Amino acid sequence: MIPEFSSESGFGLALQLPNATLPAVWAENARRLCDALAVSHWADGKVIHRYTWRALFDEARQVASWLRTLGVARGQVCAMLLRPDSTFYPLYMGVVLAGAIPSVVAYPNERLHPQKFRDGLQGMAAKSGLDWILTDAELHARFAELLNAPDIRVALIDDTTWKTCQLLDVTDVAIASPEDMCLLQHSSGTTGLQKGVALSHRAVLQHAHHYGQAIGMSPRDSVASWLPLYHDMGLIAAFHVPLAFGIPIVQLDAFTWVVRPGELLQAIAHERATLVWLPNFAFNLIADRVRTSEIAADACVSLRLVTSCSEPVRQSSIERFIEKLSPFGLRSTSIGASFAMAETTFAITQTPIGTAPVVEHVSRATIANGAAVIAIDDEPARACVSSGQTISGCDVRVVDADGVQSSDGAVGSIEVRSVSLFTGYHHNEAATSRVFRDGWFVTGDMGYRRKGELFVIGREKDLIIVAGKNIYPEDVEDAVGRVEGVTAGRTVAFEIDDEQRGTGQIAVVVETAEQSLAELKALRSRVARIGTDFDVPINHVFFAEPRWLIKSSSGKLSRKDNGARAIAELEDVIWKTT
Amino acid sequence: MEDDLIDAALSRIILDALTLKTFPLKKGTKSFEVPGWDSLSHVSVIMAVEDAYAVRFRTGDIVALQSVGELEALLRRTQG
Repeated sequence: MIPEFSSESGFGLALQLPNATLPAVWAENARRLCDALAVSHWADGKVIHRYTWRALFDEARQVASWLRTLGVARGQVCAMLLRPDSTFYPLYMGVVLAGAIPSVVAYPNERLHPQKFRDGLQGMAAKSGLDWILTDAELHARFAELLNAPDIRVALIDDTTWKTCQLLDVTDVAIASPEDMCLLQHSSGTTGLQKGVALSHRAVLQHAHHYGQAIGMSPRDSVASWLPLYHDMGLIAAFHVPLAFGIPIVQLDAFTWVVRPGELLQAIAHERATLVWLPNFAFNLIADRVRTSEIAADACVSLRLVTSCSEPVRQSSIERFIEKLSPFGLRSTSIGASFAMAETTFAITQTPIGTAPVVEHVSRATIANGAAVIAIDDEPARACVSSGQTISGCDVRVVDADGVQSSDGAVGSIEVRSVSLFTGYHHNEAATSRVFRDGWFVTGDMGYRRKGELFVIGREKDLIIVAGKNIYPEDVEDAVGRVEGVTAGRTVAFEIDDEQRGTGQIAVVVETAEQSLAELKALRSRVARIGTDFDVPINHVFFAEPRWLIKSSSGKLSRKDNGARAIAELEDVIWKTT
Repeated sequence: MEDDLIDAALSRIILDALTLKTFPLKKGTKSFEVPGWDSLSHVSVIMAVEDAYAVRFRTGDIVALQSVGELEALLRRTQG
């Protein structure tokens, strides 16, 4: 049954009730907000569809009725393999209202190798036990053999599928308990070995409550986003959080945004959006690939918070973004950063509102030895951007190799506790138990704390250790990526075991358009030299043609996978520096 | 066949946007077959073509492009 909310219940209160579930909160928002704007779906630079809160909830109830008639049962996992159009919102909510578990999957684009898509979906099915695939006729035809697997049922979707169905009775939509799983989010991956992160109603709503406090959420807010909804930043920050609070969502089609990044600014200006989340690369894309002449004079006036998340935060990216958009009303104090991950539903830290992220210039020499000491004079330094302070409901600690909590400035492993922690990796208890230590979730990220700020400096599992010295591959990639002749952003650094010396060596795979042997030799020398500039010996340089490096579905270059592939496949074209 | 190659001036603009010295751009060439032409560099290619020919493509038309030849045809249509 849906809990009764008093008429005085207002903004953000519904999601704080102890027995709150997503259907109960959504029902309350539909009742409270009625014909106010819920979702504005944009594509091709204009509004394609608008939902009010009542229309959105009612259509979701129709979807739930339709799913029930198909035989979708409570607790079944429904993979959503659909193009990002306006039918997504009621469909996703309808799956939840039916008591089933949605899992949004990236729709394969033309660049994705069919075998990679098959591997990913088969891996997901094997790990998570997919019961249903909701997809369109086009994809079904392309992957009929795969999608018609014996244990998986397929439901074909078009925009009229459920329009003639009755609304599922409102007393029947909230049979869930707060501890029930409400969604399954798959980590990105290129090998089909993704783990399904299971989240409960309580986790999603508790996260919304605490994160809402951290960013000062108010009824005057609205979210603008181009982020794909298979990613935690898009699904949680830009969809579930506003859905829980009942503030408008302005969603752009990710496929079209990437060719017209300026459309985000158009949508912000038109809808007066206040909140945006972006990965670091999007700061660069907007700064570099939007014509100033196409930005409205007041495009950014309404923005009160742009949060950088999901990628290492780079000071230069933030500076370029501010330089580009400050003439259009963007305030430098409107930029924030967050440390977030699917396993904690989303955010763990956030830059305090109204302040800019703290930046420290830390000695590269000391950071490699486990202490983030502020650099002096001309000492080689790394600009570390803080991801902000711990939000309520979360605890963060940095520990050393023995699991002992470190003091301020000491680099170590980041561990978290949270009221919005995941239930576990779906059907994978072994993987779940491996990521907990004494009740703390081991994030796998390295960083340090200072004066309440958290600085994330790299991934623990990618750490390169050379003769006892910790090398962060991000540092190597950043330096090598600036070498003339290397394609920017297309370098991975990884460790090759040096059995004879009993330690690791640094290897890099770089993409380059250079082709002649003479040019490649010169480039090899420049790459090696850049390493010596900050006392990092780059022992192996693997040259690859453009587009050789493989990205995961989240757009990140996998060091482990690409390193293994370089060793296996680039054997004949390796130029070693030694 | 050389007849399949796209206009030389357009080809040079695309290759410059991708920082490629040479690559045979044929009408049937798809973007993912061209070194460095990924989803993020696509916007650079489109902006370079728009700036060079003083045109503005519709976003939907850009997203629908399947080949270099289709980009060339879209340019000609937009130029009228």
